Amino acid sequence: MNALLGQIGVALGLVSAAGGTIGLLIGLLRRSDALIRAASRAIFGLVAGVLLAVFAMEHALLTHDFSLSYVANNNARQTPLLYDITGMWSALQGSILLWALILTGYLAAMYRRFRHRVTDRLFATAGLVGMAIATYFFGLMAGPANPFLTVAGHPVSNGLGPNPLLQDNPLIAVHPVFLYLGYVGFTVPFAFAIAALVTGRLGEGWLVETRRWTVTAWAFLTVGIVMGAWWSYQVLGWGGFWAWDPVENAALLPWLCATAYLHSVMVQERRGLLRVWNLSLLIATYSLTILGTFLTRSGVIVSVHAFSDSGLGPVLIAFFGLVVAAGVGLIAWRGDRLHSPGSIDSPVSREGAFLVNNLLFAAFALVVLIGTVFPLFVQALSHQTISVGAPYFDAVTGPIGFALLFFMAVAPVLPWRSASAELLRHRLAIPAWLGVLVVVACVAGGVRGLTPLAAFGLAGVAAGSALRQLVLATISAHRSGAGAWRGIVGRANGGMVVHLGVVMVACGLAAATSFGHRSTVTLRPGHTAVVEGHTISFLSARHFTHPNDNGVVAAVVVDGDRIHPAISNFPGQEGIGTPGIDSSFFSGDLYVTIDAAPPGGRGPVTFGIVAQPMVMWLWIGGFTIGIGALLAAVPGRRRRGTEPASAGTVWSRRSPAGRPIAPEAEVESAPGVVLPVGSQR
Amino acid sequence: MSRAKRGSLLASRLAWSLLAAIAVAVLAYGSIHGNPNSDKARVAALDGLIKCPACQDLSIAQSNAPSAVALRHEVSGFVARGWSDGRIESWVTARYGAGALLVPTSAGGGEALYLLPVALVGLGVGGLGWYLWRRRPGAKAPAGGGSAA
Repeated sequence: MNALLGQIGVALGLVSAAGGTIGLLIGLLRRSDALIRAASRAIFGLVAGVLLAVFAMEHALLTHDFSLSYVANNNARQTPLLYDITGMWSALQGSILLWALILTGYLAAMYRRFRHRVTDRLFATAGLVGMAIATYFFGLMAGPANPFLTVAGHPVSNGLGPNPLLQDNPLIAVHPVFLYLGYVGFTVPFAFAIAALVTGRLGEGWLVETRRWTVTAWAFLTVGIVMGAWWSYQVLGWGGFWAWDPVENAALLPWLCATAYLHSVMVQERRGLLRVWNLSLLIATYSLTILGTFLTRSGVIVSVHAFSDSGLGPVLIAFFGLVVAAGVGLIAWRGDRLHSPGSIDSPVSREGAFLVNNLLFAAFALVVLIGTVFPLFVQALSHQTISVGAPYFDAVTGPIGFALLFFMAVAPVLPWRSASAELLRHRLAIPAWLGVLVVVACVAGGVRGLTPLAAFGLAGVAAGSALRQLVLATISAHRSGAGAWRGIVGRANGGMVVHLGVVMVACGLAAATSFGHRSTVTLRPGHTAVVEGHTISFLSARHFTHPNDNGVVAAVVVDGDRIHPAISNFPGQEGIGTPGIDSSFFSGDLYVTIDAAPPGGRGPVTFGIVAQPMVMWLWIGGFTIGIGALLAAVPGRRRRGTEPASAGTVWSRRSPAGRPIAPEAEVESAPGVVLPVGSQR
Repeated sequence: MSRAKRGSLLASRLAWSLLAAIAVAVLAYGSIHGNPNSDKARVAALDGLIKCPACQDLSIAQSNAPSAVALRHEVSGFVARGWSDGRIESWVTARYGAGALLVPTSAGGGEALYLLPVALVGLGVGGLGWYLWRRRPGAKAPAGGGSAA
């Protein structure tokens, strides 16, 4: 029954998406508004299909319907309820279903948001791209990644259960979902970018239309990545949070491109510059989400994260190639209409800083991409197995990270067009003094080493720049009567809150990587030792048995706080550690794992001790970035455009009554002209 | 320039000079009086460089697999006996193969791994410089450019 319902849901979704794609294509070619309108209704079929398929899968997991091959392989009768539910995205086929669910959700939201502009050529083409992508993913579920295949013969009495690492932490319920909300969310700006290229409406209108969609997707991806780091830290048992694993890199690559885009898009909106670059970044961001899926799901790269491999590789890499070829081909085709009308007047300007920032992000993405795929090329060319890991990535990304921190400190105080030395001296004075004070305080507090001191100092300057902007914006908003709260919302001010979050993350990274220590200690119950300056008392250990695992849990007191490190054995996988973590905001975490325990927990236990200073700053910084992104998505105060702008930024365009024209009420006929809806077709 | 403005400019420059001097002095003190490259730090760096023989993509620092724990003890012993990093890395690659280090050796294309991004970034910076030079204010429009206007 579940299999049948699921197959019907997938088929309904596939037919709706394919029908919508074909209908929109013919409607656009024939310029038939009626056909476009009719084809757009395919979104209802898409929603119904995916909801039916998701219901069937969740019902199968909750009722342990082992007639479904996916359920038999990723669920067991003893699996706890939470992990029954999350089983849908614990393996390849189910995660494609999650992708389809989120994609359909975004497309439905897009159609809802632009419901009064369904026949507008720009939106209809974006809808066509979205429907075509949905056709691809529903096609995957109907073919090579079918989650509703049934087992041959009689169903097994009990399933294998999820991968042990996926039933050991409740973050499985949110981390993959947030990542996918980020990955898939970039479909919307990508679809609009392709639509802008196809329709030739290459001004700034589509950027404004998609700004909040992009910020939202970026925020989800950012929080998803931070949650992943937090999960690794809690589960993997070595006190680290980022291993430069290929799958982690696959999530980082689109994030880097999207972050670059969020900065450079402001240059296009304000000055009409960097059009080709922005389109390229969006296409790169979306392409890299597909490449990441390929790396994660094809089995070409071994990784502790690659929970599934499959024969999907050729299909995914072909789709990646198609996306890249379509994007590059369209940009080349429209090249003559993508010339910027102005130029960067001075490198010492906001746009100059954004340009350098973009180069740094691009370089960062490039070295991560090269390091990730390098072993594949060496193996293909010389049949030699090599590894590229943290030492390479740390060495090459560290200097880029420092440069990014520097520009993050300087860029917010730079005006558009050009800055005088006097202006810079004036605006940077307080941030610079703050940075120096931070370094002095660190040295006085006993911090040593050029790298961490330089990182803390730059972080101080960056925090000073961000706080300066927030204080000035709040005072300005208060004086104008708009309400002081307006000083922290909007893209510029929300962006500064994001910067503060990045500063915290940078400090956490610098401290944890510079001052983290690892050691081991073997203790008998009732004994105490001092390790890395912390007093550790081992009280007792006991054996436990849960429905899906068994192991040993210890009671340990660290500096007066009781923690419970454990080591668990799941069917088919033994020795999975759950650390006990004693956290402190300033002094850091003491991370205790059971490295070796006697059977039954009686006798001496060997504990792994990792001291991680300031690691909590990473999680608080990640949370602050998420809050900042939300604030950035709230409409801020209108700003005057910086002239000359190529297409008359919406901020500088005024209606005859002097009111700003709402972005959604505009379409562009050609670069340089912004017209109200309906005046041009 | 008025006398008041000159005075303000001088004060600003003095303040920045003072700030730079303090920053350099404090950073130098914090760096020079830092902890020397202790054996503990060397062991940590080597543990991060050597791949766990029983794992897919983890270093021996990141794994509690018995082979990783044993190798960590070996590395600590080598460092205590005064072996250089190069000698320890050679011992590891001789025993486990070139893929046992998380940074490829020369035979594994190690130089290319570092040179490739440098070359590509160099090209990018060169391209940016060329773009800025071409688009600088006052630069001549390219041949044929702007005819439509």
